[in-house]
Amino acid sequence: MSFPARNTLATLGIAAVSMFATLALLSPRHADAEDEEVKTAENLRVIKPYIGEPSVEQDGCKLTLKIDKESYAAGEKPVVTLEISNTSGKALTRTFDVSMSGRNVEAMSRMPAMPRLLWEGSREVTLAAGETKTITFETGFALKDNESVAIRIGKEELLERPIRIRTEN
Amino acid sequence: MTDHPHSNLIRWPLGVLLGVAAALLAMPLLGNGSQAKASTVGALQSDCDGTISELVIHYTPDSFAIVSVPYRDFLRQLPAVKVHVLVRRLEDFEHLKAFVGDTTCSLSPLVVNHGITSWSRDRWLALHPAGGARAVTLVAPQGELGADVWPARKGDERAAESLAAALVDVNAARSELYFDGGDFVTDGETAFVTPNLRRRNLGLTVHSDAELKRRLERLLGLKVVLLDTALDHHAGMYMMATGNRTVLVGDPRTARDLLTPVEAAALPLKGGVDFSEATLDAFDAVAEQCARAGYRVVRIPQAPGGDGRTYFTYLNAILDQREGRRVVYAPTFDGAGRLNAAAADVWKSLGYEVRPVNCTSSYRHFGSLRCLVSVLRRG
Repeated sequence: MSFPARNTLATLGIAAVSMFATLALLSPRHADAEDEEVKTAENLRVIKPYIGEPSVEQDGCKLTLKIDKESYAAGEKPVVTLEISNTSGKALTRTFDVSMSGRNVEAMSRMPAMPRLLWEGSREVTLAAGETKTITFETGFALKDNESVAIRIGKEELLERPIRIRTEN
Repeated sequence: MTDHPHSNLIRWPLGVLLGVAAALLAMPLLGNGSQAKASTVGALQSDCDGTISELVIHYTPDSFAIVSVPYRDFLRQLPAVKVHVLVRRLEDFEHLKAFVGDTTCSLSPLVVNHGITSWSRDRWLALHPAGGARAVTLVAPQGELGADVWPARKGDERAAESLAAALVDVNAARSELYFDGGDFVTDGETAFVTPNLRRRNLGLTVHSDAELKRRLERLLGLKVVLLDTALDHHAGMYMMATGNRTVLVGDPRTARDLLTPVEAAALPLKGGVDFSEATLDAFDAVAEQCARAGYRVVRIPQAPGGDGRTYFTYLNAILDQREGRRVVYAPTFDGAGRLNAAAADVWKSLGYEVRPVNCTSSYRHFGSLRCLVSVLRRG
């Protein structure tokens, strides 16, 4: 092979290696996989799984909120369970607030009314490091079929979980 | 034959240079470029920029007393745009059309087989087409506030699918997130999102604010500002994007200063007018958050009611940008002449032609014009 041809081939070989190396390093395919996904109506139609049992971290504890039924009929009284795990690595004593609020639904309105407090409970709990405790609250409040109801953890509305009410409609 | 003694000095830099250049040229074709071509759904449509070409309203005869006048005022002033009217029966459409009378816009009935309310705004978000596609994508929420105990609202949840089934170039999808359409205000660059949306999703659909922001940015294709303090209401009740990185925010303080105490007390708002410090602070907090996001903030008089729901708000408006002009279809209210005039002056100062829409009949039910009208497509 002639010198110019060999030289050109070698240069092209170096160029090819450089190109693949550059693409491997800088390609946007290295970005967050979620960002890679193309956005189409079909993709958006796929409902991604969501959190089954609402939970939140607060003051070194993981709080998981549970209610005793998937849905309620009007007149039933929800029972709320709070599972508290001490994730802080040390013993803790904390007061936990749970409340239930309702928004009255006026048939012709754009949205439900402002929330009003229906019930609230509070309990002090001491937990060793890594310990998990479950506390139960009997709300004693009979649900109505014209009120949108939610359970909340914390005075600062840390977590809200809607209550599903079965209606005749 | 042996290599030229200096050939290595040229071969390596030249080869590397050629390789890097080729990679940079190829990258758009292999990376983002191919994805952009494949993506057919773009960003959330702006509330202020672009020419409106199609609108959606809902109508039920039992809401006639609430919506008929706002619809008439609005529809009669609209230019030649297409307005899809969701109804349960064709005669409902004819009833509304007869009341509204002659219009330049064209009204087109769309009969649905599920319950509806007359409040179309919260049902879905309209995302632009992308990558050469023509279809607008309507994204509906996983669920609506109060739908379990509100049959018509439960039916409203199906509005996006009904539109997609009936109209060409409209797709529908359902998000895994809980939201109302009214939870968003956007200028096509930034989406401002109410704290209610955060409250309804944190711990249920997302683990953290950061995850919620990321998911919304992905869905909306915009920068997202999660308002951490605001009124417990839809965003369009207390703020509006007006273009040119400017946001209008309600100002009860100005309204208070415009009125005598007797006039303020006479305002027909449920629970009386609320000029409390806590409420003023909540409006100010919205203004501060918009300013922190890099927006020019302009304030506009607003009178909130003590029930936290009925507002004399001039922000719940429909904005159009057409032939180089900006137009706002802005609510007005009987018994609030001085506030109406002052608010119109603010809109005019931002370069808007103001077309008033009397919303006296609807504000008592917690919403005004924007709550009743959804923009399906902007050019």
